Amino acid sequence: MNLEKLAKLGIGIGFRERFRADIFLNQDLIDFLEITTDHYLDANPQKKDELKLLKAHFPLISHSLELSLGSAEGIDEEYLEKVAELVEFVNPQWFSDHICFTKSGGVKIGHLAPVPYTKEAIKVFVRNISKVKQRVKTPLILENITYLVNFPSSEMSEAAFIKTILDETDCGLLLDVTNLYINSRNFGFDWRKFLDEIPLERVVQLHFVGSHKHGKRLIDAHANKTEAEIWNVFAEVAKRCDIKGAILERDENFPPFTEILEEIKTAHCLMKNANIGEFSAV
Amino acid sequence: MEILIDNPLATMYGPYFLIFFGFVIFFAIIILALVKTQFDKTNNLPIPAIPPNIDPYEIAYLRGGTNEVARSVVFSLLQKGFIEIDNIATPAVVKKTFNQQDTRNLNPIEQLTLGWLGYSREPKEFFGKTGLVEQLNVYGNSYQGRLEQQQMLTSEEDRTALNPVKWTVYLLILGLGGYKTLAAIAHGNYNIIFLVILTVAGLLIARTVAKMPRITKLGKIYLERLQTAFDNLKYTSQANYIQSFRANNAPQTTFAGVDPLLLSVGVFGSGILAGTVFSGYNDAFKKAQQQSAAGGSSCGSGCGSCSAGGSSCSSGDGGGGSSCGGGCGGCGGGD
Repeated sequence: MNLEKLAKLGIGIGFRERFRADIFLNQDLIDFLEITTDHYLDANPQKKDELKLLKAHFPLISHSLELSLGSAEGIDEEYLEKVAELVEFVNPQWFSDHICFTKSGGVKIGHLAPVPYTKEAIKVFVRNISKVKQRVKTPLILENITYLVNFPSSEMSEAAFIKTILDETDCGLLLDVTNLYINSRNFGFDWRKFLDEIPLERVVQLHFVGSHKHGKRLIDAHANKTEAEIWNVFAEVAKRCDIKGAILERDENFPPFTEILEEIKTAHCLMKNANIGEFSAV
Repeated sequence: MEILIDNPLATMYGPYFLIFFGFVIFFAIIILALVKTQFDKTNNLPIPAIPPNIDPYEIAYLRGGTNEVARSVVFSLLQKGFIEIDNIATPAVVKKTFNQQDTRNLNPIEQLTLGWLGYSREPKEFFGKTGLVEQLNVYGNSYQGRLEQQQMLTSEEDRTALNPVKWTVYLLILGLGGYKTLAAIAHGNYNIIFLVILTVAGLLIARTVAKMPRITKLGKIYLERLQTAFDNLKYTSQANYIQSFRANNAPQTTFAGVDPLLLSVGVFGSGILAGTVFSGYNDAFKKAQQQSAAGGSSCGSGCGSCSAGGSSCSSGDGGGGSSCGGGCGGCGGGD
């Protein structure tokens, strides 16, 4: 996949219904939207109208949750067919899902679950992604997730695991800088080293949002303003990669939209490699 | 000349003629309706994008003409604290507040309205012949021109284009009904009441069918899009103004230069104000609209929020100018 040919989309937000009016009133500040594919599968007429409306005003990227690319049992073909139809309708530059599994034994587990970083797991990903790519011709990019445990059975690091999958499947990377920062804090590794190990030329898109502190751990709640440490990860990635787009993911604890716009402006500055120095922790 | 009153049509047995005449009227009206739908092919045009710098007054105009613009402007002044509504007085009175803020921040249409208001006015004066609506026509004409250019409102040209078909149908009904009436009288038959009723009813139905909708199909689709885009705004923008909270006349946080509640009123009509601290506004203007309509005003009483569901707003047959609108305060039907 020639990732360099993908268009630069800029900075956008993950579309949520409650942002709808604000998004339309601030169209000139929002470059593109990421829709959650699953919200529009088997959609009612209102949701279909909404999708048409969004498509008429913004470049859209579809982001699915349930391809379950890490499931040893394979891809749910019915779900894949629906995703493929939606992607064909939306006609995005690329579409994305996660490096995880969400189904086991045909049962949805309702969570983005990590897999052990093993050669066996890589084979599963390669097989499943190959099936997806046979059906959907739009470039697929894969997102790194957060995890709460390091599997003892893992045979390699997360970065090496991601690198191998990307190399073998020729997919791009949706680097969630918040997830990277959270994992680095929870498991005490240096996110800069992680960046050194992954194929940065494959980074197509970023996700960013603030982390949420839960006891001693950070979790990816999509409920807080992006903090300085995460902006630093963003800035570093923006300097080292030719990013095509970045999406602010906010799902809970919604702030006034002006705060969202401020974050988008900050991301714009960083994408342009503005010399704004290192962010200091608040 | 005898042929005129002595032919199969003139001598046709009355009930049979009524059946025949009924069929003629029915098919003539069907043809008229079909031709009318062919005039509006705007649903095939690309739908205009929703602009970021959206004008609530222009949307109000699209939805219901100058009446709706007047309502929206008055609401904006009320929300900004320049005017207040005394609902205790009978009739209700709209008056300037004592502490007038700097009016330079108001846009021209709001300044004009405030100037027209003077010290106080009754709501019914807004819709009268020398009322605010008349004053705002200069803006209305501008909106009309722009929206016609975008093919979202039916233009006068489109209306007149239907005239040949419309008048043919009128003449057919009137001619056939009138001819049979005269023929019946000539034959000494005076029991023509059903014939007269059918002729008049046919003409009235044809007239109704011949009315071109004020908003084109494209305009309706665009309004529906606006209402989809701003659907959640009508709830969120009310939040600071729900009656259980302390009244707050200052406009809430604005974004993109547009007040959310004003935009909601523009898009959905003032019916969304029910249950807020501004519901008195609704009460006063609903009464005014009813009084104005009863007094023979040309203003329609289409509901503000009806347009998305297939507006029944239509302009008069070549007269009345922007005769649609008025709004009933968001009821779902006419007043």
